[in-house]
Amino acid sequence: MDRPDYDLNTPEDFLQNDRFRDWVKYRLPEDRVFWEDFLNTYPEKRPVYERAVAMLLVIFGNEQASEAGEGAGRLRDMLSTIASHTEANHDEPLPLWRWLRWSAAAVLVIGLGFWWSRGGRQAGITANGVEQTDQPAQSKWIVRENQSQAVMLVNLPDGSSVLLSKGSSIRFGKEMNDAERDVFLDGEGFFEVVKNPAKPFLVHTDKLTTRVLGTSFRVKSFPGQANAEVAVKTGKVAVVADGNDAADPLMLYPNQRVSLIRKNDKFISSVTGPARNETTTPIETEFFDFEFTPVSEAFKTLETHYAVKIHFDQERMNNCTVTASLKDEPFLEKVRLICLATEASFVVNGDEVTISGAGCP
Amino acid sequence: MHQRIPRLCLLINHCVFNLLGNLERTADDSALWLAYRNGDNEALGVLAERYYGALRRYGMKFYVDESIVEDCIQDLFLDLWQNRDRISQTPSVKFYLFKAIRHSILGHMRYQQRFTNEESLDWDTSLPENFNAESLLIERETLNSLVAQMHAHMEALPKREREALYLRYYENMSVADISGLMGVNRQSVSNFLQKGITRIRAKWFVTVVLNLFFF
Repeated sequence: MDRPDYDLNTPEDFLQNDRFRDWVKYRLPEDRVFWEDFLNTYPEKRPVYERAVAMLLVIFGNEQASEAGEGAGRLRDMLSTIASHTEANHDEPLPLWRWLRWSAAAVLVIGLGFWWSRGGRQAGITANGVEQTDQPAQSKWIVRENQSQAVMLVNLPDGSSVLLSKGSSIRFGKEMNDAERDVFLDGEGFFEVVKNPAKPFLVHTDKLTTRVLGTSFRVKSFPGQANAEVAVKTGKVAVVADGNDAADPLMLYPNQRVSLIRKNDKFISSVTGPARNETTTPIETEFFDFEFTPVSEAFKTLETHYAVKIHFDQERMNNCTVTASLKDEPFLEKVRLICLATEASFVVNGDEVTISGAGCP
Repeated sequence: MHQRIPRLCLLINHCVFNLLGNLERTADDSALWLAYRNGDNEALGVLAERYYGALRRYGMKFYVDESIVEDCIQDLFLDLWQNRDRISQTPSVKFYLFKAIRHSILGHMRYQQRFTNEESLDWDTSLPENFNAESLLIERETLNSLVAQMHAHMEALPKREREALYLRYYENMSVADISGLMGVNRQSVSNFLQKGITRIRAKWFVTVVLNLFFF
């Protein structure tokens, strides 16, 4: 297909020539001999040759070749890890993970890797929370488990809220008055954390720990799964891997997520694009943006997302509207702010909220 | 590896691979693709290694952060592995992978609301910092000034023409593949390429004449 070299007359001729393109791309010594010879034989073609080289370099653009090899090897290792996981079923307890450091705002952590979960459970991995549910007598801790098919709202002592997915459980201190607010999660939960820079909020799972000062995020880490993801909704987040202290923290920006995949005995992580639609829950895409919204509608939105029942006097509060953006606030804070705006008060009893107010003019 | 052999041997393809030893590394794309579809993760690994650099390079041309590109690639191969039962044979693995990565990067940009249509899609034309003229048998000053001129012309090209040029001349793709990849008809790709080349060299003669005065 290539023209014989004496027929290279225009830059286009050169560009169409596979041998020429390979030469500019790879610059192999054996090709060098050929093109040196070519230029010596046809010195009049040198200007066209030079222009063709320049055109190709411009078309090729910046190389950015760094680390590509490393990434390829990592991906290859990952693929073989997956297969050995599915085949060999030799899971040992996962190493505990401490690695996340957050700067601000909303973060969510999602676990993928469903193909591991079966193997992990068979191997009998037990994580903190599961063990704790067997010891309800432990007075310092409260354990909530969602055995229903829907999400379950859990209000924490500090005012933060958790939407617990089905098959998930959470354990937290009765008072939450330690230097850090620690909760232990098995499974998946959407967190909205009361801001308190003095008291970091830590979500521990069997694989990773998520550390925030006040924000909303989702954690999903079912025992036995070998990987997880962290995704940011708003703000930015720094991720530091355990046993990898020398490395720079991974910065995550809005709509980015980080995938963690277990490889040998370490986790490897990589930053990626938006959390996938099928893994996000509706609440993550709900902005709770109310603008002259009838209060009944606002309550309805809350009921839908938090799986609670809100009782209020429909007639009396008919004229009340809410204008607020309650994206990151915990559930109770949302209710409090709506009540503040409508001059009402509220009482929470389990998953039922009763609002009482005089109504609006 | 040994554990895998009995399972793989359920499928004749794999026995062939195993009997021929390390054929995998040199096997052509379609053989690897077939092996992968039959459950050979190493075959997919070889493909991943083979195309990682090219996919990464291509993805980053859209001005997407390298970590995002890398993760799109990772996700692509993980998805391929998970869905191997549903993936069919393809005439060009390279085309398939490029198409998939383009799709996933566009999806990412759409999510970030940076993408509304093909026109809004960017294309990086920045130059390498040092393209080592001597290794291309050209004097450094000569090549520098030529590249600068060509670069100015390239910058003036529509972005999709730049992409077509890259795919054709760097990735060695056929016009048919480029049209499938970019979702435009073949005639448009030919036009892109033709116009692109013409425009890159358009002012060459003017420049030569000017250079005569300067040098």
